[in-house]
Amino acid sequence: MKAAVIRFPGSNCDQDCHYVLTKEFGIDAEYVWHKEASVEQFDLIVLPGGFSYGDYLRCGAIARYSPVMRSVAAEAERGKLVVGICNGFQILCEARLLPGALIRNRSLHFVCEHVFARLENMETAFTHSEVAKADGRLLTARTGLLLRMPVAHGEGNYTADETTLRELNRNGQVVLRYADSRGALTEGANPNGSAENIAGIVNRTGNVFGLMPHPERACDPLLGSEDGKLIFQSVIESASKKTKSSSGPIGKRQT
Amino acid sequence: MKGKRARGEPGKGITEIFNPLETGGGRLHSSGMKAIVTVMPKKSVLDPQGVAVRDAMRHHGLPDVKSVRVGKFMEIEVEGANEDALHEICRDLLSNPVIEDYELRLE
Repeated sequence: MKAAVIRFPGSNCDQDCHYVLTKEFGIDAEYVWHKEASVEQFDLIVLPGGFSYGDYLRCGAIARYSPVMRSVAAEAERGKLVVGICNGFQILCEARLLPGALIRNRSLHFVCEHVFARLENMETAFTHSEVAKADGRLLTARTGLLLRMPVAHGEGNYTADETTLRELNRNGQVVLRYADSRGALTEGANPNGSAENIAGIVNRTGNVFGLMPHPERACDPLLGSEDGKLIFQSVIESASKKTKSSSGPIGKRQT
Repeated sequence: MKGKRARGEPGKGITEIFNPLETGGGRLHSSGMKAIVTVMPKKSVLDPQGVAVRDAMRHHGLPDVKSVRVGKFMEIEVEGANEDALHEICRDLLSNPVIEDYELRLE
């Protein structure tokens, strides 16, 4: 099991992702420069946060044409697991590997705070698992579970047309929604004005995941939350299983 | 001219995008053209910038301002423009058809 952390010019969460994969989970992870032609040899592909190409034109619009993205798209097509965090999510949307788009926060402010993301689908390859926290308590995936993670973005306002939103809901593709501390999907709990409080989605085949919150910044009690571990644990388990057996996407929700 | 909704496959068409003059096919114009591209947020998409500018204008003594939409204006100098290739690049790179419409004008 080998993970790739793609580095674009302007990526700035690459080291955090690499640290979590290697130090917290003991996974073999490598940085991959965006000019590389192939990510074929990796079992998991992480597109980290940051400001690729200075967010020029639109967030992710130029990174989408980086040479490595051809291979990322091809591997995604083959069912490999791809996670895009924050700017990575924006790049996946621009690359049409995920539906919809991320536009300017409704408030126009850059938001930088901890939020609660409510787990909407606990059957995906990215959110199905169980992990022990530093104090030994278990964090177990269940629908409605609140994950406390930081957000830090100016363009995290997820938007899609009615048809796309209906499809996402019908197929269980909405994985995370912003909620308040009691799990209610309120406007006040939504940091960016996203449609239906959406914080993270998967593609139709369930192997590409994009989310605005930063799970990699929530994997250590020193950082105020370990809830992000659930996502890393799930995806690592899924990728390891896929490495052993070349079956279809794990946890793919059939409805 | 409004762009079609179709959009290239991810990572595909990079050569075409960055070498628009070499793809052939479209109408060829004489050299030294200027392509003017206007990109606007779709009517159906909330434009938070436009709302903020509208409110600022109202506060600055123009209470009659009904709405403002903020887009992008790009001037592109090309040596002989392949119009089809320019439309393609407008759809695939300069605008995002999920949230924006574009208009291409050649001068």
